[in-house]
Amino acid sequence: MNDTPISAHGLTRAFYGHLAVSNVSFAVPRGQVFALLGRNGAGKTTTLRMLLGLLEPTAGEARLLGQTSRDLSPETRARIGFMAEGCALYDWMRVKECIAFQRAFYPRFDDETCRAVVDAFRLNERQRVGELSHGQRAGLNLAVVLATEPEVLILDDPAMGLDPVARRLLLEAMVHFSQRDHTTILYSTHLLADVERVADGIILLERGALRACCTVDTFRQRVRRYAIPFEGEPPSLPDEATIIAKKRFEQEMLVTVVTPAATPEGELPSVLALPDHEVEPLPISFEDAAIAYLGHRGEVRFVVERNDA
Amino acid sequence: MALRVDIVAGSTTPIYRQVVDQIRLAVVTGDLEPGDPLPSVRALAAQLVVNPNTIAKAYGELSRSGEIVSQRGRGMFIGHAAPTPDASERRTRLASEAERLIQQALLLGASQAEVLALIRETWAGLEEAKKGPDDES
Amino acid sequence: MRALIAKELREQRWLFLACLFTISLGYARSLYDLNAGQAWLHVFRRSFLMVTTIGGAGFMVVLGFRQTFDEVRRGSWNFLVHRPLALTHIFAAKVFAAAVLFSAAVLLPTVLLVAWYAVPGHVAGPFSWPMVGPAVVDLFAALPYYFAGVVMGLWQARYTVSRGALIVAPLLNSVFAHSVAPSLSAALVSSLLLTLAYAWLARGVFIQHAPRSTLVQSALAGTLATALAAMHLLATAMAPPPAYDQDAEPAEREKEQWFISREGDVRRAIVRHGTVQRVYREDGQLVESDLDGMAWVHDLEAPSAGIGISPSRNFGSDRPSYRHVLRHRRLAREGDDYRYEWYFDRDSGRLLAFDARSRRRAGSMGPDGWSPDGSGAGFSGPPLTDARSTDPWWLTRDGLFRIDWEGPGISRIALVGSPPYLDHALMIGDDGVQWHLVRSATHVDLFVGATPRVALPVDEAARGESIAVGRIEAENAYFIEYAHELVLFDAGGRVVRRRPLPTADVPNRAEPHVRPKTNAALFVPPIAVWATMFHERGHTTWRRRWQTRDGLLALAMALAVALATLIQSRRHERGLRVAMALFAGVIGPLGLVLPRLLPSSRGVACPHCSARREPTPQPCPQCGKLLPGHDRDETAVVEPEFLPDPSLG
Repeated sequence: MNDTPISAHGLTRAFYGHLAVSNVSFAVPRGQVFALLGRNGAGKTTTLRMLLGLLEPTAGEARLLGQTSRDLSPETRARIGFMAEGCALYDWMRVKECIAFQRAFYPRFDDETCRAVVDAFRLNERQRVGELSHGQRAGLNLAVVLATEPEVLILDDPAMGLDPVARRLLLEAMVHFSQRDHTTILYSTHLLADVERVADGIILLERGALRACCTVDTFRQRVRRYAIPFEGEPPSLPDEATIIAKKRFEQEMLVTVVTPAATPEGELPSVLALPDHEVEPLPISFEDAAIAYLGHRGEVRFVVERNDA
Repeated sequence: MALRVDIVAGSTTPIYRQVVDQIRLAVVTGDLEPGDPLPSVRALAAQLVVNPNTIAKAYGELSRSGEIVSQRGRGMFIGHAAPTPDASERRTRLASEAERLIQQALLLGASQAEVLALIRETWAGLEEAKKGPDDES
Repeated sequence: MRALIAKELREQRWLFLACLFTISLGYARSLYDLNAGQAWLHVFRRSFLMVTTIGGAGFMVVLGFRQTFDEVRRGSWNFLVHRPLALTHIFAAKVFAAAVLFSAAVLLPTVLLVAWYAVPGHVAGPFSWPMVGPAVVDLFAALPYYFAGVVMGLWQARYTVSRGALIVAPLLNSVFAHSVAPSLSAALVSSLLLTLAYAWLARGVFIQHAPRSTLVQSALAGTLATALAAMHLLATAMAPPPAYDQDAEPAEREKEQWFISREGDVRRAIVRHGTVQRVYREDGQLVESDLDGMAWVHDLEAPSAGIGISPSRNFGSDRPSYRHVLRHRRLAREGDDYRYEWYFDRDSGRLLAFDARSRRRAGSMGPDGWSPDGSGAGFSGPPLTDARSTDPWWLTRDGLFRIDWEGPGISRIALVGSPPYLDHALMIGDDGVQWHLVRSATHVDLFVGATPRVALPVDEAARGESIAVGRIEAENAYFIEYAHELVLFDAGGRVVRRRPLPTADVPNRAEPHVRPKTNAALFVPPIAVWATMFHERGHTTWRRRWQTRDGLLALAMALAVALATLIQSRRHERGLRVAMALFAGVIGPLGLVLPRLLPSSRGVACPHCSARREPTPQPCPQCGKLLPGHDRDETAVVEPEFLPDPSLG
């Protein structure tokens, strides 16, 4: 049995000759929850679709449960749960019919699980799917997917448009089912605080390329923030790629740095060894670290120097 | 006494650190005592809506220092070891807390003596509270 | 699978009901007409079959389109294809559901109607199975539309127009099956082959919705190419003649026409713009051309007071098509008040009568007379002229008959000359007496009433010529003009005078002035130019000279277009590229859009310099930079334990 049910091997996909995903490789170990992060258009959905065999990679290969994604057998597909972006369900069905429809394809369909999730999201079985709120819709989709007891669960932005209560329910469900059945979960999201709560690791895409693939803790450890106070001339920092963000204020410069893997906690990275300046480490939240990482490179200034003329 | 842990996601403190700190706090404030059972990793994870591996990491850190002990088949219990942060870490963390306290005092116009008296008073109160239940039992 | 079929059926129920309603309404309307006794609305009639021809095809294309397009548009496509079923099975479920809906909405009403029609007593007319043929063909021709709709729904078209191109092949097939196919089996086979081809294409596009194999791409290319070619040829056909422009006849030209004056003399008239300009006697002397004099002129070609025969299209001589169900031919009739509906049955050669009231067969009629039980000899062939059951006569090779359709009864007027060159014309004289003019291989016979009046031996070589009969009022005489001979005879049938007519010298038979459209080859598909060249081979030499010039121009055009297409399709697979270039060369400038319509799969744009390159780890040949994802630097936070085992990739 392989222990990485989800893996991507140099996945590349171009649309009309333009790269959407370029050489993305990762492997999610069994039973872990991984979050797929990236800005809009970074290639998250494309990557997930290729993983599920819904899109042919231009180059590379994706594997789910040991099978190449492009020819997943129906038996393997039955072990994979997928919640598409915006919860692709049939609007004209009633909740009850939607559940019955799903049940028809899965002999192992677990009615109790389904009922539990449906109740948690307070769904009325007689309502039409098209009339459900975003949260209820996600709940229904989650219910019919979880009830099939998938070994691998792939969720494409499940939290999109959810209110805080529904979001919390979604997280609870993910935590619950990831430990109950050792389900391997890969989900894409923009909610970084939630990622910190439930994810073991993150896969971070930027403009189609893989930028990070590590545990949440490793990421926080490697991305650090420092304050460099100055008077008069701002400090000149070396032109190093590892300095991913510079923010200049009037008397202080905030610098976000990706430290090399070997740098211990508390030790200053070598790029910030500035003889003339005091460099002060600042605590940084996962959210800030990820935002700094995803944001534009280079110096950002909100202080505009005007010529008084 | 039940363990109450509050998690703040998105803070600068990692979640597993929050869990560790709050269990330690519960012990030092007397909310938990050696021998008290702790919720299982799964239960706490579900309760806090946190990845179970995060809880496991927190428990792992606490059990390495002997602050909690695992009894095979019965679960986790508060151990007898006291938290042993090293001197420098203790100093940094206390210093930052002290700074915040003094900032508040200055903001509210309290004198140094007033603050010191208050610290002593609160300290005594907490010690008292920690002893109290022991006497009753 | 069952759940999927049920889902499809439910999703399309409104479309189904709408279709069922429309088709049933169409049939109900026809049924009403049939029931009202208008039995000429056969199940094989074109007007009647509009319901299946258009309704079935329309339903199928909309059904196929909705089945796929709605899934893609509403996003449920991802949910659908993630079913733990082979994609072929999901496709099959859709096709099965479509088959059920088609059967219920189109097939069933048709079958019910045919069944109703076939039961005696419902329609006053005969029923035979070949009559159902056209309806069957229409049903089969509707099938490719379904698969075209399926592909159209899934076709991720950059240009919406290219979606529509997919429907051209089924349309062409419909036109072929409906109007061109010589036989039922040809129509069925063409429809079935196209259905199979389209089903295969639809399955390929369906199961590889996003990933496109070369095979599917080529199929799409073929479809699009057919569509383009058809459009192009259609446009060419509608445009003025491709390469050659025949100048209109000069308006000033004068024509020569022959007339007979009231006195029975032959006159030569010069006509311009349909107006007589000058009139000459036979000796060439100019006759006073006053306008009053026009009244006495009889046009020999279209006698105003006479009858004429031009070589007629005999019964059944139409271009063969399975749609002309020749076994039974209803005799056209007017009015409502009649006892029998009459049909001519080719097999028995007898006239079949159906009681208009009971709508059952009443009997039949042959040359020997009426027979209620249908026995007796048949006519030796179909009627030789368009027969109407209001006309009291009947002409076959057996002779000319007088028929009482209501009686019913039949009697022979005359035997006529031997077949096969028979023509017939009828005139009702001023006194109400019928004049029959019958032409056979050897004679022209004129019967007035049942009395033979004149029998003229004629030259067989002239059988293609027209005949005219008329009355010359002044002399109370009659004339027959035939094969450049004028025969005047009196009321008693005695020939008074015969005289040859001079052969008209037709000045407008000169070589038409042909001027080549010099730039035509630039706009017309080269293949059309070459086809014209081939077709018109053997005409005058100077015309061929122009054709050669245009042919060369077309060749240059074809080469230029092929080259441009080859350059334009750099991003496509090589095989597809060559195919596109060849095809574009043949169909002309319109082919240049082909590479734009077909998605290319090869290569990606380098994000740094926009040059086209392969998605490989190698640096860009243009700017030397690596593609994103290959240029991982020290800022990437990647833990090797979360990277895949390289041996699997």
